[in-house]
Amino acid sequence: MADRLPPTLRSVRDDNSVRRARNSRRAGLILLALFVLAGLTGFLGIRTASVTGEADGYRMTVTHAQVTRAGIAVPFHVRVAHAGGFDGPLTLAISEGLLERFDLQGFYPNPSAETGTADYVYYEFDPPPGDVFELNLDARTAPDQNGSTTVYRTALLLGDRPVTDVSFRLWVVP
Amino acid sequence: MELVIRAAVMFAFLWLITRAVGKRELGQLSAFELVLLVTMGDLVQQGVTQEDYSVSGAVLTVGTFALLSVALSYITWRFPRSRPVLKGQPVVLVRSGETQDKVLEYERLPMDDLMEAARKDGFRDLAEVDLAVLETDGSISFFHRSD
Repeated sequence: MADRLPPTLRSVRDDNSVRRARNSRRAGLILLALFVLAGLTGFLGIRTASVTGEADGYRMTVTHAQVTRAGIAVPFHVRVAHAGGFDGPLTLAISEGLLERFDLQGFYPNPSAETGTADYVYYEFDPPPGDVFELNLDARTAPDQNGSTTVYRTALLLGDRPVTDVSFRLWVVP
Repeated sequence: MELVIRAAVMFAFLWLITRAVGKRELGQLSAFELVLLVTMGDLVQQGVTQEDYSVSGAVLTVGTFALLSVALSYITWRFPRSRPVLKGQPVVLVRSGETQDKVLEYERLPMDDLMEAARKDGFRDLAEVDLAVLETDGSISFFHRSD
């Protein structure tokens, strides 16, 4: 039948193919809508989670990003509570691999001393007044750090003595 | 979630801008206006994506814009009464050879631009025009007088 049509009309579609094209467009739009819905519900980041470790009366809670995207701010908050306060400096050991995935802007408060090994960076903080120590990390997700199922750890040490630790994962959506 | 909301707000703002500037500016972009448009695109991008470098962020913003565009066209098809608000209305510029000066003033359309459009359609004189209609996309349609 197409051969009988004038040359300029041979590429013109009939009702059936128009319906097929419409159905294909609808399928594409549904996929797109699902993706946007995933973004709207926070499934593609940023999602936060909290993990808590407790020992010897010390309770450490780390609030961290679970899912994030390159460039956006990531929450990293450490809260250490101990009834009766802190006698001396406290040290946080944070997985070196986790810090590599961030563009660090700064700590609040700043550590009084820091050192590192191949696996951990150790930050020592002066004891706070009162029973609670709080640390905020101002950071953004570094580019080219997609995916990863690595488990990261944050540990609380008093002097050289490990007290408690928590572990979590961070997924960076491409 | 914020990214999708920012994209939706910016879509609404851009729609408002295109409705506010009028039909003529949409149909006839000068070189300066074209540069302005590209610059506006850059400014909009910063407001929407901010420091999000991710591919998924780009897909989310473009996807939000695309879905809202489809929603707009569906609304104008399903509810024809919404068309004047969402898309604007064509207006008559010339009727039976008579130029509608008030309409030209409302649309900020200089007589020179109307003359130019008429020349491009092969008219020597506006007296030969039965109807000239400024379409919602900024173009002008001409109808010959039959007599």
